[in-house]
Amino acid sequence: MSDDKENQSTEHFDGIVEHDHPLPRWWVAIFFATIIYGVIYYIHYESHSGPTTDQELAAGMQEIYQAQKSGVAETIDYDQVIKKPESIQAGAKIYSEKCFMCHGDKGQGLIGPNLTDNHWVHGKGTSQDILAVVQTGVAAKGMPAWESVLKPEEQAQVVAFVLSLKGTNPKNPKAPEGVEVSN
Amino acid sequence: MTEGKLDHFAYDDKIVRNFLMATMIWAGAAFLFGLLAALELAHWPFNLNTEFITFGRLRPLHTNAAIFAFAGNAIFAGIYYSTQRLLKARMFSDALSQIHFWGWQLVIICAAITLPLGYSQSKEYAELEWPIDLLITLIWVVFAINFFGTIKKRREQHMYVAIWFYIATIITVAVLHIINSIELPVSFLQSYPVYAGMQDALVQWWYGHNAVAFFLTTPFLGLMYYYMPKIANRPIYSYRLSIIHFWSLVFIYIWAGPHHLLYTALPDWAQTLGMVFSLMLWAPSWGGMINGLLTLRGAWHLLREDPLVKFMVAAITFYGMATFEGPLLSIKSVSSLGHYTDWIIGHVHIGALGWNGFLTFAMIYYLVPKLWNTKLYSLRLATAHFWIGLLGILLYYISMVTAGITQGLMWRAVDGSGRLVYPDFVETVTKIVPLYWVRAFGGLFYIIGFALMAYNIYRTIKQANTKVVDTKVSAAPLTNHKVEDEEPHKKLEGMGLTFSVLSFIAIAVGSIIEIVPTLSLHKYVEPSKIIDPYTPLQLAGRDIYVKEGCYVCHSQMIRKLPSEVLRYGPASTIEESMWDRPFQWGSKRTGPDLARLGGKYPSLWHFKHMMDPRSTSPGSIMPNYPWLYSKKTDFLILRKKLSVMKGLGVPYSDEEVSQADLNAIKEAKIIADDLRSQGIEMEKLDEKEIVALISYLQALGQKGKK
Ligand code: HEC
Ligand code: HEC
Repeated sequence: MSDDKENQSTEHFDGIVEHDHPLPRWWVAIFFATIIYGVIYYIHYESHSGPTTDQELAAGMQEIYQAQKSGVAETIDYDQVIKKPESIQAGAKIYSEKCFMCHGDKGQGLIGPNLTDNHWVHGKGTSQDILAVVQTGVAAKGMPAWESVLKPEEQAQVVAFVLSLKGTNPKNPKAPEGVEVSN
Repeated sequence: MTEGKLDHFAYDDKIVRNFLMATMIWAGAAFLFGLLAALELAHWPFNLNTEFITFGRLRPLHTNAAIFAFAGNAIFAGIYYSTQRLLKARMFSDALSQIHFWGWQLVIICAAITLPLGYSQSKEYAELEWPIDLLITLIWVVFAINFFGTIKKRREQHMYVAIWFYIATIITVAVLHIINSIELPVSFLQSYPVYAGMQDALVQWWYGHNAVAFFLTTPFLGLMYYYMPKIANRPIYSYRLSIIHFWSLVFIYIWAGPHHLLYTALPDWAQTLGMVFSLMLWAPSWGGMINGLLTLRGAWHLLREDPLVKFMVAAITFYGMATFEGPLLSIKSVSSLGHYTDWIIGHVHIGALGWNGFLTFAMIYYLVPKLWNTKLYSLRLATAHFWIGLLGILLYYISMVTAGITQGLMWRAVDGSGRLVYPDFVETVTKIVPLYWVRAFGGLFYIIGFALMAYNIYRTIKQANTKVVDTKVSAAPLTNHKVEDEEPHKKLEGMGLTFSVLSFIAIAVGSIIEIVPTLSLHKYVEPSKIIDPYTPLQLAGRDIYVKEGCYVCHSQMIRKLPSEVLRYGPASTIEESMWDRPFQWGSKRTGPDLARLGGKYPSLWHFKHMMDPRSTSPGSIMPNYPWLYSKKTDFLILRKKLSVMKGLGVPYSDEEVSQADLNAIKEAKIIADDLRSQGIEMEKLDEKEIVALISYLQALGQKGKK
């Protein structure tokens, strides 16, 4: 074995023997490679030839805004979807996932207002009014904006469902909020 | 060798037996807390709806028990045994040894009482409140005096590499603990740190990372250097490798803390330093692994035959895995995916269960028969322990890495039209709940293995009915004669004090360069963006948030990543947390980031959500907090709190301080009135903790808006 040649220093500590093999080459290579890489990396980023985290973020956001803009191009005819009878059922499913915790399982109101009565805080309860609230939300009052969460078609479907709730008179309704609208 | 008079003395073996027993007891406790925590994430009602073991309080209990109670006692047992033998001297003072032992158990008991009660500074692995911090400092100094005193009276000229690692451990842990714990008391069991926001984050993760380095790595490397060659009865592979990897490890480790804060509001230069030094740690860490594993060269058959060797080799292999994965996770782009996820939890458990746990088990199996003067009761049981434990670790690791990567990818998924594919946070949670069950089973296997060991050790000690006595030895005292022509490092190994000073310098360099610049926080704060400090009620709510440990599941740091900005809003700034003592950036997102929560929901939503998160967020795994609806907010102490904050530099006027409680009561009324108008009926609603908490939650991210 080559052991004996390389054991130049052999010491005994409480019976423990220590050999003195040379450092494995591959280990030395990793050691120096990481140090050299580290130095270059640091200089690259701290001498401003590489982007700062703020610049990286700005570039990333630019891409997203671009995608969102091109996404807008595929707008749909909301009215048409809202009027489709199948939309109510699809909308009910969305409602039971995203809206019921605030507006009640039957739309009777809970944290958010009652959606079945003819009182409205925003607008007059027309399909356009409801769509607008759903899309942009009411940040100050805790109604989320759904524009970035629901697809345009889904927005229309949930509006169709909300419209279908009108006059259903569920149990334990929340007291009316907003202005009464006579239809 | 000089033939002189021999000293006759005995090693203190009793102290080692004490620490070993304590290790066994606290290991059981730490593992069970861990299992309970794992079960609570899979199925929250495992907390029995009680505040004391709710996840936010249980997790610090688990981490502290694992690190300081289990690993701590194991380190002390291993050090007290090996140091005496390597230095050929009984410990410096038996009295100090006993004070060290009982003092440390007292610290643990104080922790076990205060953490479930919610007394916490919320700084990870440094949660204990200031009186306990002082006690820890005292006991650590006792340990240091005892250890360095032993070096002074040693009978072996040169210090073996294990001793180097012990020296670095004792010095560095003292520095880390003291600097990270500088705080001003508010009351007997509450304090605010002197550091704020980004500063606090940097100091905390300098501490947190190096607690792993100098409490869970360097002492265990020292133990490895003693117990591996002992157990295998083989020579250590390379002396010069041990020199190089020791010094490079100690010097480089201390810089790596900021890799916990990549893409955050921490200044870029510190992030970059954290990343590159983490990469440089790879080779120094593997140096230790090589020296441990190659000790077996030419004797690999032992791996098949001897369960102790199995444990050792597996431990060292896990160390190699963890120290490869660590630098990998520090690469910015990998961190952007893995940070805040369960991948990190998997990573630390490779270290904790594999490296620290298995190495400790090997050491215990080795020491108990020696110290009780008998044979191990059953090698077959030990082998069974090994395989069951190994299965447990693999289940744990694989499930957590899968969960982490899955969730990380879901968080960042953005579709072609620039929308999040999974905008609902809960959706990314329910997806990985099955993996939480797998993890819990992994933990269960590990504990079953440990139970086998406990039985094995119990039988071993029971069968050793002879009276145990301290090991007697004879050795020559050190003579003053100098050996000429020693190589420089050999010479250094004969100089305890110089060696210790050099180790201190090695860890001081990185610490100073990283921390000192941020001590003048104002240099990084843009005056036009400075925000108002918390109102008294918000501060009261914040302290409840800290007490309940919400930070163990929620971050308050939106990183500079497009998908996070899309999900949570503009990236968090330094100014937004500039009054935060302690900072609440967090390290894990079991729930969503809360940095911009304010105004997102009506107060009524929070009122219902905190009572039962599933009522507003179906599928949520967040625990219920019913006690917040019966406990009263302490308004009076707010004067004291504001005055301490003022003392720390928060711009409150004298009037704001003296009126703090009255102002808080007014604020509470506004929120309570709002809740009442929405139909909530509750007696003395204004005084309840939930109202203070809501006031804090509604302020998150709102301050800079004006
Ligand atoms: C976090 C609770 C919450 C969720 C979830 C929520 N809402 Fe709302 N919503 C509110 C609140 C609060 C208001 C009242 C806003 C105001 O007072 O200006 C509101 C208002 C509305 C209104 C206007 C009512 C009016 O009287 O003008 C509509 C329509 C509505 N929400 C529909 C929805 C739909 C559809 C969903 C599901 C896609 C939904 N909401 C989900 C809380 C919520
Ligand atoms: C076991 C981990 C866990 C703990 C501990 C925890 N949470 Fe949560 N939290 C969650 C999860 C998961 C969600 C996402 C589902 C939901 O809304 O309940 C969440 C959601 C939330 C939300 C809603 C955020 C949003 O933007 O929709 C708030 C607010 C919140 N938690 C507050 C707290 C507070 C305050 C505490 C401490 C008293 C706390 N949480 C403790 C896991 C946790």
